[in-house]
Amino acid sequence: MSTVTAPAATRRYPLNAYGLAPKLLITVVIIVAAVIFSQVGPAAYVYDADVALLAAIGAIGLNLLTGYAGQISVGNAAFLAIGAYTVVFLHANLPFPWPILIGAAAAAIVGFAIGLPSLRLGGLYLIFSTLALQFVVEFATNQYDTSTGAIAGHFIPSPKLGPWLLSSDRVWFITFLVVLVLVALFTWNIVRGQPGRAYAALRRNEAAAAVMGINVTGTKLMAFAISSAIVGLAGGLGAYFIQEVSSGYYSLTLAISYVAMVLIGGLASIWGSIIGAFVVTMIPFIMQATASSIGGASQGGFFEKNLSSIDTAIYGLAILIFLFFRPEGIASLAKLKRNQMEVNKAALAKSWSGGTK
Amino acid sequence: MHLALQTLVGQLPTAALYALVGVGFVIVYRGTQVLNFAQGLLALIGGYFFYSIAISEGIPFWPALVLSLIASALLGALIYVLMLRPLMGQSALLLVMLTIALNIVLGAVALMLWGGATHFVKAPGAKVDLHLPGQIRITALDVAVVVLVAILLTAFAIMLRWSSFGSRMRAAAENPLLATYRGINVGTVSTATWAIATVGASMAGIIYGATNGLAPSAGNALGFAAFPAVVLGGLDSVGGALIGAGILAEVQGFAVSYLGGKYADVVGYGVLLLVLIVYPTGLFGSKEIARL
Repeated sequence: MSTVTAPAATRRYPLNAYGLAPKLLITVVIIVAAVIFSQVGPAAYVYDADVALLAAIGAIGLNLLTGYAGQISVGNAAFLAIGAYTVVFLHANLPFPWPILIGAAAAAIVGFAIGLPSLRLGGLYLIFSTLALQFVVEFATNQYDTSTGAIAGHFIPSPKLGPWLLSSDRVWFITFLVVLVLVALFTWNIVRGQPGRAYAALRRNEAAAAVMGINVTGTKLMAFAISSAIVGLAGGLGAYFIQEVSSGYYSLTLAISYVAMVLIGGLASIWGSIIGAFVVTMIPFIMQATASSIGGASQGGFFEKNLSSIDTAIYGLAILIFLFFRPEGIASLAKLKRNQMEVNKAALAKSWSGGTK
Repeated sequence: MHLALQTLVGQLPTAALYALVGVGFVIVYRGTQVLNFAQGLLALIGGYFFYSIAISEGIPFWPALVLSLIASALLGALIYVLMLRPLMGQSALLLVMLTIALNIVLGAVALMLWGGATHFVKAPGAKVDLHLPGQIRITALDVAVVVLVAILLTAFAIMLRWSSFGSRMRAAAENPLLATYRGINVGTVSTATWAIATVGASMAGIIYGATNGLAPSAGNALGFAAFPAVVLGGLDSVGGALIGAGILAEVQGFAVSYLGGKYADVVGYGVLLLVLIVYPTGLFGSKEIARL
C-alpha cells in the first residue's frame, strides 16, 4: 500500500488529528460544570473551590519549572509573597489588574536572579538558592509588617474590574477560572512548542542539548522567569482574594505544599497540576468534615487535636506513595489509559485493514 | 572587645551543632548521592527519642543517651533500607523529593506524638556557669558539647581514613560498581552510612534540646540552618563541612551580637546565596558537585 489515508475519525473531526477532540471535549464539559457549580453550588464549597483554583494557578507555574524544565524549587511561597506584597504596595495607586501584573513581573525578575547561580550548577542547586530566597523574603516581609505596625496583616479592599466588584466567592471563582484557563493555555503553548522540546532535552542531558544547538542559559532563565511570574500572579490574585496579607502565611510549609501538589498531580502535566492542587487543598476540608462528623464521639481526642498534622502526614504519605509506585503522579493514571486505548485503536485499525486486503 | 570574644567563644557550641548535622549530610550525600532534606527532622526526632526515654521513662542520662542513639541508628538504617535502597539509581531529583516528602511526614508524625510544646532535655552541667579569662561566660554543658563533638568528629575522621570500614565506606562512595567488584557490600556500607549520619543528627537534636528546647519548628531550624555551612564547605567534603560550620556559626553570632537576634537566619542564607553565586563548589568541594 503506497498511500496513507487518515483514519476515519480524523476525517470527520479534523481536531482529532492532533489528539485534541476528546481532551477538548472533556475540558469544555469540566469548565461548564465548574461554572454551573460556582453559581448554584453551596457557598461553603465554592470558597473551597476558589482556594483550590488559586493554588492550581501556582501549581502550573511550579510544574513548568519542576516537571518540564527539571529544576526543583522550594521558593514558591517567596514568589507568592512577592506577588502579594506588590499588591500591598500598589493597590491604592493603581487600578485592579495592574498591581497583579506588576507583581508577576517583579517575581519574574527575582526568579531570573535566583536562577542565575543554578546556571553554573546543576538543577538541584536551585533548591539551595530558592531556600535562601524563602528565608530572605520571609525576613524582609516580616520586617515590613513590623515596621508598618501591620502585625495582623495588610488589608486589601475588594477590587473593581469595570462594572463588577470582585468580592463574592462566586465572582472570584469565575475570575480564577478565567485566569487558570489563560495560564494553562499559555503554559500548554510553551511546552508544546520549541521551548518545551528544549526543556525535555535539557532535562535528559544538558551537554547533549547544548550540542543540539539549544541555548542552555537562555532556556533555563526563561523557564525560571516564566514560572516565577505565574506564581507571582497567583500571589497577587490571592492577596485580593484573602484581603489580609501577612508575612506569616508565606512559609516554607506553604512552599512545600506546592511541591506536594505537583508531585501528587503529576510532573510535566497541566491537568496533573490542577488535580494535585485540588487534592492537596481539599485534604484539610475533607479532614475537617470527617472530624466533625465523627467528632461527637471523640471531642478533644487524638483525631480532633491533631487534625492539621494528620492532613500534613496524609499528603506527605501521598507523595511518598506516588514517588514510589508511580513517580509520574495521578495524571499518569489517565495517560496510561489513553495509551492503552490508542494501542487498542491501532490494533483495531490493523485488523480492519488486514481484513479488507 | 569583650562582646567579640564572648561571641567567638559562645558560638562554638552552635558550630558543633552545625558540624554534627552537616557531616551527616555530607557523608550521606557522598555515600548514597542523596541530598537529605530530612536531616533536621532526624535530629529533632533523635532529640525526642532521648526526651521520651530520659524524661518520660525516667532512665538516667547515660543509659538513656545510649538507648536513644541506638534507636536513631535503627531509624536511619530503616529509612535507607525501606525507602531509598529500592529507588537507588533513580534521578537525583526524585530522591530529593523523596526526602522532602519524608521531611513532611516525619514533621507531622513528630507533632502528633510529641505535641507542639517546647520540651527541654535535662543534661548535666546546663546550669553551671564557667568563667573563662577575659570575663567570658560559658556553661559547663557548652564546654562539654564542644569537647565531645571535637573528639567524636576526630574519631570519625580517623575511622574514615585508617580503618577497614572507613576505606570500604570511601570506596563505596567513590565508585559503587568497582567497590562491588572488590567484594564490598555496598548496601551494607550505605545502610551504615545512614545510621551514622542519623546518630550524628540525633546527638545534635539532644544538644539542641538541652540548650534551646525541642519544638516542631526546631527540626527545620536545625536542618536548614546547617545547609549554608555544608554548601560553604563544599557539599562532598567532610572537613569542609566542619570549617563551614565554624565560619557560619561565627558569622551568625556576630550578626546577632551587633545587629540583633532576628538577623541569624537571614545572614546565614545571605552567606549561602553569596557562596552559590561567587564560589559554587564551596571551599573544599570537588568540581563534580557542580554537575549535580
